[in-house]
Amino acid sequence: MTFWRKFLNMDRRIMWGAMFLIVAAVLLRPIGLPMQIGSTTEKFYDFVEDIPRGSIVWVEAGFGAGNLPEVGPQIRTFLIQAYRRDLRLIMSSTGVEGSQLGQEMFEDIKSQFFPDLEYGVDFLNVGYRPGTMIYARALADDVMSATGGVDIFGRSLADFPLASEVPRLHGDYVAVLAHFVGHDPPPDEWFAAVGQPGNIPIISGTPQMAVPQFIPFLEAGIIKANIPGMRGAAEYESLVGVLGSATAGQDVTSSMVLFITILVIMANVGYILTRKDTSS
Amino acid sequence: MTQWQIIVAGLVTLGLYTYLWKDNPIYRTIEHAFVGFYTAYAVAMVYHNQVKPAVLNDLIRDGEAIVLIPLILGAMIYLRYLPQLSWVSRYPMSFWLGYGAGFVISYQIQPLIQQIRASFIPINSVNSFLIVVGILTTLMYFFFTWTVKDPVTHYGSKIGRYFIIVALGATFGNTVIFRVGLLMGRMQFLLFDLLRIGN
Amino acid sequence: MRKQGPMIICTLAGLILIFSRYFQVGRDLGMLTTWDRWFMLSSGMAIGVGAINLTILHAKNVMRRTQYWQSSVILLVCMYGYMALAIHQTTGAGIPLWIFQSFMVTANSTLFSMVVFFIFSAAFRAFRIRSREAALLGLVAIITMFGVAPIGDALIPGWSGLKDWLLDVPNMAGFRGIQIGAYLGAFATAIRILLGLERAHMGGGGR
Repeated sequence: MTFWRKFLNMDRRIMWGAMFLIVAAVLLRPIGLPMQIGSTTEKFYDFVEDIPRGSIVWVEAGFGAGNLPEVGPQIRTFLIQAYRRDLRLIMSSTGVEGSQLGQEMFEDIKSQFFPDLEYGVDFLNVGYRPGTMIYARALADDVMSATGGVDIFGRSLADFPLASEVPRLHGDYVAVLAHFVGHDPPPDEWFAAVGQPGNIPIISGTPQMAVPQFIPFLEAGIIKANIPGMRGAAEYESLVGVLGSATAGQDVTSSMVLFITILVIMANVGYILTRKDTSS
Repeated sequence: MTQWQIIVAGLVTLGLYTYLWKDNPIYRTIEHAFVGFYTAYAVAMVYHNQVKPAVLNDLIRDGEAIVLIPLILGAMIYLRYLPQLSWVSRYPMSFWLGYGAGFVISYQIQPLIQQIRASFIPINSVNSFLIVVGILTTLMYFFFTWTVKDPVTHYGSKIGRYFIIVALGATFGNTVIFRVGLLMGRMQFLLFDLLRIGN
Repeated sequence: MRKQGPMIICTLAGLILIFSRYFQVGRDLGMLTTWDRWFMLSSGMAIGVGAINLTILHAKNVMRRTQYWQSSVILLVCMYGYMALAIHQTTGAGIPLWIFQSFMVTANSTLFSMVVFFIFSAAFRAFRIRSREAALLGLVAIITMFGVAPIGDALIPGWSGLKDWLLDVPNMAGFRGIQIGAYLGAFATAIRILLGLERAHMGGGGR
């Protein structure tokens, strides 16, 4: 029983060290486990494919650095698919970091894949604004007033042709609202403020943590399609044909799931054996 | 990121991870600097995106004196630091709360209706039966208004607890995967960008 | 003036939105657009409260030379230094952007990622099959994890189908119940605020 007692009382830093080593080893020597594409992600991909060419999509990029490894690949791949379909994007952010991170993603995509994209014509970033649900409501009435008439760089929105095409966030001007937020504010607030009154379908990308609570939204039609977490991002990368960090991360996820499961099972075996030992 | 930025980011990452061994001054320094930077960043964002356009464009350039009202309202919150005038800060707070409450009543009703509507499904399979039972019993679990004595609500809430446990278990499993993803993101940076191994 | 005034403002602000939504009052005059703008601008300005509170707290630490007061100095220097630079220039260029990209994004990601270590050790120590509920929670978590990671299907083909069923049926039902309950709770709280029964924001508790 000494082994089990030692095991159950082991210094947690041993476990953490093992975690570092496993992640590093799997990143350096990927296993390449096959991955089936889930129907949820496929629906998202098809939804974007069905948006008429040249339409304007409003992207809410309220995510932060804390969920960048998950939401980052989702939004990056979405930008690629959207620009392949000649969609034009306006980006807003209810998260402090989201506007800058989204801007960097656009510039990255532009330099790598679409050098002809033009800021103000194909893409516009209205920057961060506080107020979440009230901000969303304000956008539904008047974009100029809600944003104060300036973009992320403080330049007048009136100078950009894309802004003049969307006087308010409404289905008459915007085809889809793509919601890429860590998890708060949830898409039901955007549905209440913009989606339902303005008749705009909402699609979303969510971190893995929020996937279970997004399912009722999806099932109730509050959101039309969703990319579920990093697994969803990897599937989406595969559908769009640009493999990136999410795909590379799937082996890490697998190895860590195996690791924690083995630990939990062993801990329970040890718990049962040592408990019997103690009671006897 | 430039080479220097990668080096700084590497030092920040490793410095923060030192906490896993033991709380130490390196971790505390980076953590406090981060809180300072982040607060300042949020203040500057609001200044550039909201306050500056309102003052320079609306008030000074266009002469819209009405902008003074929200500016004064926003400034009133700072009177909370003056004991004699702290009550003035209740005005902006009340406005925000009232407006938010108004939003909840007038707009949030729609997702609620949508969710309720989606719950009225024909019970023609085991799954649809489980969904209806799950929703009803979970709601029963949240009956806090009165003491539950009738057997339907009593046993219903007990069943509801199991549905909540499944939801929480699924959330826990997904949270583990989410956090692993974040660790992977940092490890990718350390190995591929900082140390330039593999990839 | 001190209590009635804010309560009247609170109720009026809510009622204007409600009347505008349900009875279209003032929609043509763009009244809500103006009020939205007021809300966003004034509430945005409150961000400085956080900075002032931090300043008071850490200035006290420095003056009293409490434990780790040096960290408080670092916080204050970083905060005011960055604020001066970012307000004078912009957050989207120059040194503020450099710090944002290299320091802030990195630190935020790293701090979030560190939680995984504590989750793992918590699962190791706490995930014991002591009751039916604990066993169910652990089992669902493991099924979900294996379903999300490709290893589930690699070991047992079709495993992700089990995960999908768990998420789409019992999880969906559970979360929908929770969400409906949350909506109802939010409505009740909103009505209490508008009726003046909820007074925590006035510096006191409810009635």
